[in-house]
Amino acid sequence: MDHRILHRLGVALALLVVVLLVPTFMAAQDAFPTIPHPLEGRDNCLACHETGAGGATKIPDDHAGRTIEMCQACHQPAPATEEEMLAPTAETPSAAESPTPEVSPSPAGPLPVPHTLEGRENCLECHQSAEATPVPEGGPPVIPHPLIGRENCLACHAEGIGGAPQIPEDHAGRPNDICQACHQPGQLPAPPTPTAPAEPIPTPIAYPHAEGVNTCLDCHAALGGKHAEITAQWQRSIHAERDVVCADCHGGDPSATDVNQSMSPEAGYIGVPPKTEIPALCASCHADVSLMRQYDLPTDQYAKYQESTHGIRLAEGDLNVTTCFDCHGGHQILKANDPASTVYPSNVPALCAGCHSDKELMAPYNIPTNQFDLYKQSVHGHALLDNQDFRAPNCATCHGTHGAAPPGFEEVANVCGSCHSATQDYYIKSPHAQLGDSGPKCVDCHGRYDVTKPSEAMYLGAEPRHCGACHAPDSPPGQVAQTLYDSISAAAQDIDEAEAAIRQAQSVGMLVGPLEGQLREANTSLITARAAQHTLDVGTVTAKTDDASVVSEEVKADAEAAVAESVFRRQAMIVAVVVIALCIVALFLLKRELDRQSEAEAEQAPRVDSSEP
Amino acid sequence: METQRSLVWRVWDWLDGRYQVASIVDGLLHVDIPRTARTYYFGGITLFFFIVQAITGILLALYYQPSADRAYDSILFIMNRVNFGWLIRSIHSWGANLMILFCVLHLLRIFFQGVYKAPREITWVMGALLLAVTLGFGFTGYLLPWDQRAYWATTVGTEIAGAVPIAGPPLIVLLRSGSEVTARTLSRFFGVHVLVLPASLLALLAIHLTLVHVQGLADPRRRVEPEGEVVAGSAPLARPEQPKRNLLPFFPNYVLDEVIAWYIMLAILIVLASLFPAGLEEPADPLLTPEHTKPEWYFLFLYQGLKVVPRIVGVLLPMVGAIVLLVLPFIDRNPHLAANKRPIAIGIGVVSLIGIIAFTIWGWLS
Repeated sequence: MDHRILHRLGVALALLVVVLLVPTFMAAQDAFPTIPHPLEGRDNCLACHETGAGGATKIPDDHAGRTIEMCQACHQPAPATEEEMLAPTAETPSAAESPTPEVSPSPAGPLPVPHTLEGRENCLECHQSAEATPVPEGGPPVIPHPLIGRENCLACHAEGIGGAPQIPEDHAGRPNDICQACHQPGQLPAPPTPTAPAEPIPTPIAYPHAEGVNTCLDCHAALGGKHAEITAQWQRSIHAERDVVCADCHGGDPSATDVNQSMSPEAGYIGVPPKTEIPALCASCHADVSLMRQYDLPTDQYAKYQESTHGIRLAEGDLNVTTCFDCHGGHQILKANDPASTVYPSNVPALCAGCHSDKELMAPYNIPTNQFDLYKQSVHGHALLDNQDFRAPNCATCHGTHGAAPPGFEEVANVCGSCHSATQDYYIKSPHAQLGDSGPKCVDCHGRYDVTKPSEAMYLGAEPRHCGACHAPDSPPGQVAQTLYDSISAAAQDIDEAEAAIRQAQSVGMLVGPLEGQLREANTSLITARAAQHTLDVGTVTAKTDDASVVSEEVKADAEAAVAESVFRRQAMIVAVVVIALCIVALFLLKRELDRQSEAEAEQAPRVDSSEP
Repeated sequence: METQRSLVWRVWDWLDGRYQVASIVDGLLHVDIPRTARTYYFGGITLFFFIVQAITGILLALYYQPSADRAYDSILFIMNRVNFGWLIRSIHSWGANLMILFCVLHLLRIFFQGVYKAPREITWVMGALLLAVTLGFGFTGYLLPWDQRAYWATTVGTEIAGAVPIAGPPLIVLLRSGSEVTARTLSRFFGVHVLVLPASLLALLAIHLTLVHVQGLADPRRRVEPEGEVVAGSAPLARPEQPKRNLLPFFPNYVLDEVIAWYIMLAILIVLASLFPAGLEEPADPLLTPEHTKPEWYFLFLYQGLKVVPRIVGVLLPMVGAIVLLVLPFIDRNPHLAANKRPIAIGIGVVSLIGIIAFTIWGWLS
């Protein structure tokens, strides 16, 4: 036994004592700052405390490298009672051991939210009075949309995606969960209402009729130039065909041969009607039910026009807006189903663009002018303008014709559904639709004028119109998008593979008609799944995609079996042909022998007895 | 010795002792044919295809259901479920086309060799009627699968008949059993295809073959005999004595050649049926006209003709052509067989043939 051993024993005992005493000491100390706010919704401590955002206490330098999971090892929530949490004046933590958060003296600086929001959702209740820090002039902007499914404010507002206002620079570093401390959901502005009351329908112009006589035409045609051009235009029009003459619009006496008489105010001549009076002039006939019935024409154009933005502005004296004359042509008015007509469906986009693409004309109204360019590139534009597919919408299909008005949100959902009715039925069952007016509508994902061909890629990625533009991939809606992508893509791939197998079977001459029929069923399931995904209900969609996958896998197996059968047939064919070839060779040998025999017989004897034994 | 003869020979002897079958078979088989005859076996091959069609047709009839609502499904059943059903139907389909092709080749051979002339006028007329019956087989059989191609090819095919002046409208009703191609047309075509045409063909074929047998095969190199004298062929009953060295026994020499040709045709049929099995389009839909509706290839020249020439010409020209073809031996009085001595007939024949081929190709491509 020497000193060294004793010394080591002593050191070991001392260490043991220290190891046992430190935790006891630490537990007894409780010297770490407590967490002065509830942890619900604020589980990411570093989001605020790393940078000191929103006035949060910045973590000390010696804490560098510590992760979120470690914070609560030392820092525990302050033992605040329910009464304290709900008390309107309990905005500062009172416990002596909790440090008071720093409040920036500058109103433009980051604002702290030093208390729980539970029961204090309406910040302005306190912050507009002297009881708490006052809000800036006018109050914080309200949230103009519901929050269900849009919990992640920063997904859109951080970079201003989809037209969302970008958060101000002084808000930098503020996390998602404190936005609503100041910004509350608000109300949408009410849609504009027409200001002009409906005008009464005017009486048509009366003039003396003389059967077959129209001196207006005779003179103007003879005058040449612009006059003759007008008469020629009129003669090509549907009005000329229906005997609606110059005097019906311009007044005067078409039976008089003296110009001073025919074009006199006494004869009712009004000359070129002022633009503001054109709708009423046209309506004097076209709003007359008894007159229009014989032509099977509607009579509500005038009433609709007066309610339209065009009509309202015209009533206000704005002469830039369109009237009947501008769209239908003045003298050369053709039937709407005449391909030469300006209002023929495929001519409508260019007609509207005549004004709405004019930057100078649209500038005072603050209306964009790129709609026609966008439309031309859209699926609708390609279908209508390039392929003359009249099922595709033109401007008037969505905006209305005579009742032209800027579409509101509600309207958009309905106008798309007037063609895409099955999709609309599914959409109205979705959480998106349940958000009401401010939920995402068709145009938010598919575009308004530039509707592109949708694809499964829209489920992925965070670019505009993709699910990720609003929903983070790991959020519940993001997970739904991923599931929809997976199931629809898988079904589409199954169908593609079955289709390829069918084509292969067809290329070797196998009958694939029944398989094609089955695959059409699978495709129908996929198409309905693509429509049904607007419900955002994974169960509904996967039921359909599973159907599609099951059927297409059966089809693929049958098609591959047909290809295998074809291979077998060809192999059997080779065997059969070889057997036949052997027979032919044998017969050729026999033939050669016979030929020799018969030649020899022919040489020898002129006649033979042909009977055989 | 008797006990050593095989069973076959003993049966033969039994029959011969009662019915003299040996002399009948002798008469059928043991004839001589000119060594210079060049038949190219076209007639025999056509006969072979007829036999194939009869056998495969009977097999198909065991499964085929001739009603508008069952026909298509029964064809699908034959193709997909019946053992070798695909092979039988594909051979029947290819056999039909090849039978028409070889029937036409046979006719062309007879025409260009000039051997339809006296004394074989009736043989030619029977042959021309056989071609008409064969085309009738093709026309009626084409509808039976009751798919889109069948339905619309028959619609435009019967439309051709409707273009005949005066008789056209009633003729179209007769063919279609109504103004449109309907289920009744299908019943009618089936009845004609399996009852009327086979009976007609068998009767005509019996006469045709009997006449060929009685007169023997023609020798295209024979010299023109003095005017008015009917020169018979090589059959013992009708021909003058000929040196034996110019003749060849029908059996077994010529028959052996035919059998080799038949074997080759059988191989071709099997290859075609295996590589290009008969297809089937969508079920017939009278409300859905396909983009390109055409009749079968052997009616294409008629169809194209009707499209591009005045209707009256497009109808009357083929009708006149058919009648001329039928009674050709009675119109063509030129006794010569050599092509260079009958320029008018050969000229008209070549021009007609080129015209028909050109219109067929045009119709195919249009």
